Amino acid sequence: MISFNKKEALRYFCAQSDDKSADTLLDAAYQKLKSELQPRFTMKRFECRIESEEEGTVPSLVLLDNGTVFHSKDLARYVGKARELFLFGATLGSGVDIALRRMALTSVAEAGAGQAVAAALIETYCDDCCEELRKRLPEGKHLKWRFSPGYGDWSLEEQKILFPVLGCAHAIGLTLTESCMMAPVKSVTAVMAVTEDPESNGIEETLEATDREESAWVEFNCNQRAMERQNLFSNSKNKCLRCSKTDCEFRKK
Amino acid sequence: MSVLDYLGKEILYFDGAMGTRLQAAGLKPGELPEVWNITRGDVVADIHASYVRAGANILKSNTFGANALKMQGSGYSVENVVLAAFENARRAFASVPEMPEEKKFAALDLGPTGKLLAPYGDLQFEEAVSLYAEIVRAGVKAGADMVLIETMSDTYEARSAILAAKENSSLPVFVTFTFDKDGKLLNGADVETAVLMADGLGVDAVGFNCGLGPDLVAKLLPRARRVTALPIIANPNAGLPVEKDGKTVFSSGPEEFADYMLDVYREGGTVLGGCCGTDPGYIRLVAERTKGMKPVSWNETAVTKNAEKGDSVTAVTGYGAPVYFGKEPVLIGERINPTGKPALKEALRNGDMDYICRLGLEQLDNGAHVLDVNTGLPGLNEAETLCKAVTSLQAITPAPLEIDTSNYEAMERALRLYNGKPLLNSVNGKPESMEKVFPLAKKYGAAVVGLCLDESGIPDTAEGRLAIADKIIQTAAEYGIKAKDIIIDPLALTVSTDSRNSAIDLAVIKALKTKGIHTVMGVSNISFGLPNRDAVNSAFFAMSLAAGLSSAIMNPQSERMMEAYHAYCALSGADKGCKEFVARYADAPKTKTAAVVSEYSLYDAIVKGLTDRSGSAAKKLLGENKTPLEIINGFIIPALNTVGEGFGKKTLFLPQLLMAADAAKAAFDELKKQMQKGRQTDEVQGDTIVLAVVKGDIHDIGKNIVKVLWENYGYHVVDLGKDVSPETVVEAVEKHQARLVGLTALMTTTVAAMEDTINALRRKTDTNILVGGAVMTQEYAGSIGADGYAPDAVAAVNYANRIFKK
Repeated sequence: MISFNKKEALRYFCAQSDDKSADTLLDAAYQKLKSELQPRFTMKRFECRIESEEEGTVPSLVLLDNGTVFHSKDLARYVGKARELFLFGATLGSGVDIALRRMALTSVAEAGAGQAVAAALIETYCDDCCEELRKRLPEGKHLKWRFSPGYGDWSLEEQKILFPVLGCAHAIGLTLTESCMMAPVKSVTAVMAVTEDPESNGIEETLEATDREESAWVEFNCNQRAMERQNLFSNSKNKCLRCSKTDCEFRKK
Repeated sequence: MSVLDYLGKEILYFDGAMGTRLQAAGLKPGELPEVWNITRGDVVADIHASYVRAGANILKSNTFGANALKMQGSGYSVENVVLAAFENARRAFASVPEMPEEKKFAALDLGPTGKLLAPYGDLQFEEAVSLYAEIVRAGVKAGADMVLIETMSDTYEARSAILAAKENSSLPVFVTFTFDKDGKLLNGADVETAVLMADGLGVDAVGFNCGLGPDLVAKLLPRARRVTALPIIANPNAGLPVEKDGKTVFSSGPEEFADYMLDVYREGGTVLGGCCGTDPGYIRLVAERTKGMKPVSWNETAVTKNAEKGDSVTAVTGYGAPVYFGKEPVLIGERINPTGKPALKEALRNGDMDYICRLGLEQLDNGAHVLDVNTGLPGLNEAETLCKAVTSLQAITPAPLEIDTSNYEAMERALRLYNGKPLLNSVNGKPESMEKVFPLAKKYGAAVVGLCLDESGIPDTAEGRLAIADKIIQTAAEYGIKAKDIIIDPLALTVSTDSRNSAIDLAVIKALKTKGIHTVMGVSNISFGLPNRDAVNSAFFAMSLAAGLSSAIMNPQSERMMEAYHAYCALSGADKGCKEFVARYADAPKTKTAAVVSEYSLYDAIVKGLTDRSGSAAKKLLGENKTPLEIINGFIIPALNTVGEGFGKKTLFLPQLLMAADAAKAAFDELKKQMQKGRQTDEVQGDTIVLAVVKGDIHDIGKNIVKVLWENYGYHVVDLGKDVSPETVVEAVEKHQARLVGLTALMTTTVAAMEDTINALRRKTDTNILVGGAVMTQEYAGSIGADGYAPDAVAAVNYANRIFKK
């Protein structure tokens, strides 16, 4: 069973922490969703390296040992000196999508709360999966936070490369639509680099990878409602540190 | 010889894993295994041959993912890959002469498409059928002996593959599903549901593969046997897959695997083999340990010894748990039927499927097990409307549906795209009806309601109606439809015109009950023309249940009917220990809270987000002779403005905005009811706005919030839903002459579709275009040619108010 992080759900719901009515709505939504959960995850380990497309330029390619190549300066900077990484996929299952649709039919408040609860649940589930993996890593190896397609300059189109390599459909029933949306919706895919340094987390260095104006990541996090960005959060104790919108009213201290 | 000559008479053996063996031979993650049929044919043939030497007599062709979607860009066609796959299989068989030729079978292997079918994903059902059909045609050309549809984790996808196999070949069809340890597919369907659907569609064998080891398959297998008499296939993994350092490994060795496969055999598995992680060593041991054994017959297994035989179970399904007939009475919600329901008629004419879904949810929440769906309305394309209604309902509930139509085109189209084993309403004793309906019921695996009427009308004796029931059942048998799949409706006629009518129905029900034939009846027809119909209906309902009625088409919103049902279940023992009765009536609140609503004005109720109170306050205002328009302008809009302003100033937050929207909607719904009574709908029919999530995008929470707020401000919103093509948006704007269009997109990948839609609108209309969604900014909105940008729902309301000068 995935634990329900209500504090996080309140944040996704854009609610104040002392908002009792929002609290009640979230509890009710959680009760409706918990019986629909069919969480699953899959991960695969690869050896990796980064390269530049042209000599003298910033590295923008991440090459896996099976021949897969991802194209992103931010991802390359995230991978940095790591020589291995995990591809990761997780989903809450299609039952949650269907339950959210039911909620939307009768109440927008309940639907909003449901979205926030589901976002909190998939995030907790991913965190739990990664924590288990972290425990199994050999001594001296450290798992970095999750870096997902859509972060920085890593195009969502590259989900088309990631999905078959990870075998998401077969392993966990996670599929990709023509326009690179994940179905079921409440799902996450990510890269997790394994480093030999104690977790520096690499937040700052990754954030600096791309000019602020060019970063789709910055745009994403500035403009979308918190409840809609479940696929865009990454893993660490404080994910807000990776967002450059420092004046956000919901930014975690 | 056909595989069917051996099936069920002796143990047959499938091979084991192909994918994991190819990986061991160098196949890389993401590489297409099917291409190896051509580029590394020797490796594939060697793997096949190793299984034949181990004792496998059915080879799965290396075509698991050989569909056009996956083969795209590979440089090889589906047909080339399939033809090569069968050459490899034949070479492998030829290399093992000790296996008798007549027992060598090559199965065309069909795996999942890798896409989720609409309405859950974006692959249309008919596209899925076409993808599979292409492979099946290639398989027939390649000389396949049978079709194996495997690793199905979604009943809907399995259904598309089975139909493709049966429509494009005359080959035997086997299907195996991948369940989790609780016996559920990824789409939530139970073992019984998947098996009932496959059995209904006429497959030759059904079973399990992948996902689980043989120990867990042995535990789930009896659940399949309880609902089918078909031979059962078991191709489990070599134990449970375990992630170890990012790699998948399996927990059972060959000895343990073979031990558990003996359990599978004892539970009734008759076609045995393996899936991921198994190699020839596993298959060899299974073949050796079961050598010479005969399949276990029905009454030999522990679980089924005293049970009803699998092929006599009557059940219908959606994609959750089945609903069984003959256990507790089945309630079929009757309210999705436009007869006498002006609001539903209006919803059908407007294509408002949300309304139909809400009608469905209300009935399910109140205890209905199955939903009747009838969309017949003069002037509407019934086939199209019924299909939309079925798809919309199946998008929000796994409960079974009863497809209710006398239009044969609508019947076929709705049966075809239905996910599960449907109930079909209806056939009757007229030859024309049976000739049209039975082939459809057979092909699509439906249970059918048989009406006791024929060309002479409805007999006025129980004997006459029973004779028609017999005729229907016998004729169905000629089409291969078993009696268990015919549910007879004795037809309730009103007692106000003939007091014998009740007795006739009860006699028919009793007689059919003794023959083991299930019954269904539209109970409320008994009281036409009488006052206090609920009293008559509920009494007749209880009498019918006592006589043995299996199911009723009724209104679950009628408390009297539900009381009769629950009381009957308690009294008959169907509700063991009266648990449900107590839960429903003892634990329910004893008094309603309606009396205190006057504490809140409508304005306050909306601002505070109190949905119940706002509905009641609106009623109160209507009772004080305020017109709907006065209430909207005097109370609802000012309250929403207050909330909107608070949201803008950040004194109120999203939850309060949404709750206020719900509360305003509840008030609006009360006004609508009043307007429908007085036919005043035109009075407040506001300006029209078309709203859509653009093509390719499936995130609609933002759109839904905007819709509710716009409606609360009195606008007529034409909601086109999500994943909407530019052409559909243009068509709707032209049809409704909408002066404003709202478009949303969440992800960067769909912004191009936003621009396409704007360009299409600009070419044909002069409407205003407002855009919003996560990726949108004011600058971006301008750059793609939108007239306005709304960062949130309140801004969308303000924009509309400016356009329409409110």
